[in-house]
Amino acid sequence: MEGLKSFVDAAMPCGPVSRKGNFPNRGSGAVSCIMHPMIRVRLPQKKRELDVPGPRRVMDILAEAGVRPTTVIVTQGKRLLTRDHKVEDGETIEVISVVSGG
Amino acid sequence: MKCKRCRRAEAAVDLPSHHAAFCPDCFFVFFRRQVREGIRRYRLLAPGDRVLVCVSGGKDSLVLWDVLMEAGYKTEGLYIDLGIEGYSARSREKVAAFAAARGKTPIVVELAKEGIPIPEAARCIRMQECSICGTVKRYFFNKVAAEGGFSVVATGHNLDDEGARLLGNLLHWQRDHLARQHPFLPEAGTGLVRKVKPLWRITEMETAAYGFLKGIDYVTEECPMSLDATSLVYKEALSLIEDKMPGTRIVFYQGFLDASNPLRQATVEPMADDGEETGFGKGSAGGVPGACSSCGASTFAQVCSFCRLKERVREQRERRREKT
Ligand code: SF4
Ligand SMILES: [Zn+2]
Ligand SMILES: [Zn+2]
Repeated sequence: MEGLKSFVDAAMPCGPVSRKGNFPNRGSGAVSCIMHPMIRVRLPQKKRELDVPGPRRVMDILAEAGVRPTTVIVTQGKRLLTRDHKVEDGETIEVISVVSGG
Repeated sequence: MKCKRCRRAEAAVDLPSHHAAFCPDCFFVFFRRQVREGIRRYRLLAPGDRVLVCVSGGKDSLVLWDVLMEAGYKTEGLYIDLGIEGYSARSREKVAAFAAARGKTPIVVELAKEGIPIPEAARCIRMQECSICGTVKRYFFNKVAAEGGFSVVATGHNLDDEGARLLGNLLHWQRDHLARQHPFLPEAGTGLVRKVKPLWRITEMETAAYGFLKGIDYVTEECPMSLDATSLVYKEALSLIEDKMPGTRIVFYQGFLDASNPLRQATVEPMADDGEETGFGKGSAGGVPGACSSCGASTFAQVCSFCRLKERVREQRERRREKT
């Protein structure tokens, strides 16, 4: 039984789905897994990636990532996203810094 | 969110400082109008100008070249290869690809070939990379413009750059710098070419959005020397204020440019090789400069400041070689 539990923990690091269908383990520090994908946020210039539970607006994702909205553009494939755009679980967005130095 | 202009398409860019949000097509219209207004306000460019656009491979300068070409100006791009390992090759590639796609070939100055690659020069003479870079760049802006018959040099400085510079100049009460800070610096008879900043009304976020939506492939990495630039501190301070009070940045900079601003009363008198700039021309505006005995640029000294810098680098390099 213990063996099964650790197997499930490893395969579903986000925690089991409760009967109501919501994810108990989805506060900050939660992780994405195959069963419960989250929003993947890529910050290529900082070589950083993080997962954020969705659905969530771009501005809230930026706040979570500690990025000020006027310093970035947020893209998804060939699209540019506005701050109030809602991103769903399983989607990937890129946060690109626009600050040039010198 | 719907586009505030056409009210049909989904918005892609929101601009709190303009109380607006635009779809890609309407954003292009907005952006071009902003550039046009920036040019018109201080008569930066005239229809007959031959414009030398200084491109670094970054978003601002490539976007600048793109809009000026689209607006019908006669342009050529100047790329200065600073000789910085990795970064220079990558940014040069972006410039070449951008130009090729538009049937152009950029004019390239290679500082390694000129005997003054920035990182090595900085090491040799123990000077800050950026201050060497500034002198060298200005020298080649004037030189290439004079040799190629360009009437004006355009750089991609945007509202964030200019706002940050203004804040820095004010905090230290750099009166001489304040008097010179303007999107329009006139030419001088001594061979200093006119210098303009057509993107002065446009924020960094806007050029990035424009570049992205137009599929312009630019280097997103920064010049490695810029990482501790103090200008970034001023930029961050301004953007903090902008977040809380959208529109502050343009009011700040535009108010400074206002002709009635006493800080701007001191007129800008560009001179040949005043230690900051080396001109390429025959005539003179005040005083009579001679020609640099080494390169022929007009200067009040025997040898112009660029050639002196280069000579110091050469000496130090030889001295180092002897030691090893
Ligand atoms: S950061 Fe310094 S060295 Fe790099 S391009 Fe700018 S001025 Fe030149
Ligand atoms: Zn529209
Ligand atoms: Zn010289």
